[in-house]
Amino acid sequence: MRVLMAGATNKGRTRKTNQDSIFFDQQMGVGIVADGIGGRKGGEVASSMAVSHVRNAIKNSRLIRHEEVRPFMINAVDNANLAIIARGEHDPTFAGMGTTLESLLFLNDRLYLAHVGDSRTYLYFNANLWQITLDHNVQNFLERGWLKSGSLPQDWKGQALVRALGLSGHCEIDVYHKNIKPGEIYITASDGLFDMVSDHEICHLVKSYFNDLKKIPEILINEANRKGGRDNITVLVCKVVED
Amino acid sequence: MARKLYLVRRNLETIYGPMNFDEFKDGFEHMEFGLQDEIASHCSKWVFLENTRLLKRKYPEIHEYVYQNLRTWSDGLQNKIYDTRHNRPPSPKKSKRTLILLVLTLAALGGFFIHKEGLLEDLQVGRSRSFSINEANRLLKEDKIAALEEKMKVNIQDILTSNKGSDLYAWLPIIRWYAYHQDGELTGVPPQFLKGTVDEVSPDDCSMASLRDLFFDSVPQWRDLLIRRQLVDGEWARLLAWDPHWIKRRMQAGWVKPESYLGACVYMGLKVFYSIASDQEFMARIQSVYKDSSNFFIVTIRNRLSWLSYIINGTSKPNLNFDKRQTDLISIWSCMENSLKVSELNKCYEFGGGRGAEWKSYTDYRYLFNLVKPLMFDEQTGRTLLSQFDDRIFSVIKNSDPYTKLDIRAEVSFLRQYFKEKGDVYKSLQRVRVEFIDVDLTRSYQW
Repeated sequence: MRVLMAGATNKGRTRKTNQDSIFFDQQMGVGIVADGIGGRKGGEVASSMAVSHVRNAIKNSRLIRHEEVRPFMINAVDNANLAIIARGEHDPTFAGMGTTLESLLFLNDRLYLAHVGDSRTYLYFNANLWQITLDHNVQNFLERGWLKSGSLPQDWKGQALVRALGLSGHCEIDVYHKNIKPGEIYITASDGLFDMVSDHEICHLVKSYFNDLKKIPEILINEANRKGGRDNITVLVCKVVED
Repeated sequence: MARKLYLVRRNLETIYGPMNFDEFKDGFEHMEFGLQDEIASHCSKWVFLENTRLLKRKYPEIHEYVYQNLRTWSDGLQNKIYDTRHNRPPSPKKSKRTLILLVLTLAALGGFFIHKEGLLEDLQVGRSRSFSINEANRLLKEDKIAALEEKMKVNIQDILTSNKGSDLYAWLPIIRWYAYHQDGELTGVPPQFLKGTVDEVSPDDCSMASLRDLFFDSVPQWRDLLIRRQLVDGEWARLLAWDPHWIKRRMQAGWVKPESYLGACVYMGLKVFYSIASDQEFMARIQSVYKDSSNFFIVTIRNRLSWLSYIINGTSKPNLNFDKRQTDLISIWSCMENSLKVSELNKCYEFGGGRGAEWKSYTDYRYLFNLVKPLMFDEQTGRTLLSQFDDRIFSVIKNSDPYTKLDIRAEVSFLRQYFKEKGDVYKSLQRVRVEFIDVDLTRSYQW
């Protein structure tokens, strides 16, 4: 099996800067998307630092065995987190900056996905679409009993982030793994996409351009912009094909 | 429209599928996933299989299948009671008098079964014609090991074949107890079934036979780990390096005795080394490599396994003298794990000096990891330590053990909290309990 990749990022129609970052390398089997938060420059720096830290960690690693991937990814993300915090402490311009992170690593016939925050990874297969990752926001944590409403401030918002890189020295992450098969497309995106375009619409567009992978990011971004483009939009697609 | 497909998600870690309904049924029957997992179809909400209300609303076909087993079975058993007691099926046309008689008979039967040590409870959980899960649990609780073993020996095949889905889950701790009470193998049961879904840091098969082969193949490497202080790349070596407190602190669902898969692996390893004298092939191999010092290697590894099993499984305490300078690497680990005071830990650390950067770095890591215990129990010394440490220790002790790869975030979180709360153990432990609900840092047979 091989994994083909395509991706794009766009600042949207209302934001002045693009605080999202993206990296992908088909040869390495690596794709990373981050959505920065905080300050005018802070979010941009945080997302870029997260992407470069994880990318370098993977680039510099020796051959990783399956059982080592999880601790490896936890370490890589943790280091990125500490670096972002250190940068914020060092330079007040960047104080309080943070970022979400989706890091996909395809290793043989398996996908490992590190997830922090509310960017998402979807799986498309045979005209079906699933959101694989759980958004790390207040609403979801309340539903799962991980947060108690009594412990929240009065003006809490369901969509508020609970986890992100840069928020605290200890950053809990989810590391998913899944056996992959031909015909699957993994769509990783910042909230600028799915806040504007519904899951059904994403599914429909991916289905329409199934055979033209490189077009999919552009098509999805255009659709998000057509509907208002209220935030930065980043889309990475990874398609599993037979050798 | 394509056939409806599902994904199953476990612990926000493992994703199974996409699969159709038949594949889901197959996976559920083979226990690849269970009630604690979540399911979702196209553009739909994830729902836990155990959430009957939501499952019925969102995925009625899945609900119907998952919960059908229990219903069908309990109905079937009630019919069976009629068949055997009355020797005829209940007639649909009953006169009022017959109906009253029937109610009275049922009440009498109910009383009889309740009296018979809660047999009615078996209607809900775990079926086996002649031996119930409740009886098995009772025997284990009362430590009637010989009786339980005998019952399991007779009924194991029936238990494995006649239970499915959640019924089989109910039996799982007892099945595992039975397997690891013997040699870690059951006829017709794949090792994966016994292992379950624990992290991939442990061997896939922890039967005595498999571990015996693992240690047999590694004989020439024993010297590297035990004497040369090299962190050998091998499952057998990592098993010896497992921290027993790490294992004991983590409660694993589906296990009773041993309480976790890693605990079972340690116990099986110990049994291998207790029976090694009768394994002529194994002994000959050790002697061909180590000649006169063979016994040293066997005893050292057995002592390590014995120590691990004592902390994890509560088996008998090995006779180890931690006051003497330790000559081998793994005895130094045991020494550190034994320390309840910072001064004791310091002494073990000094025993383990020298021999290269990798070893030094790993000893530093183990020292910091083993600080958790003394900090909890030696508060006064712990507070004086606060002035000597700073955040730099967290560049040594990160999220996982650098050698065994065990996930140590709970312990790291405790250390972070401890320093943040200026030595307040209670607050630090409370925080860890909230963050890591399946970890209890205070669990141990040692105190």
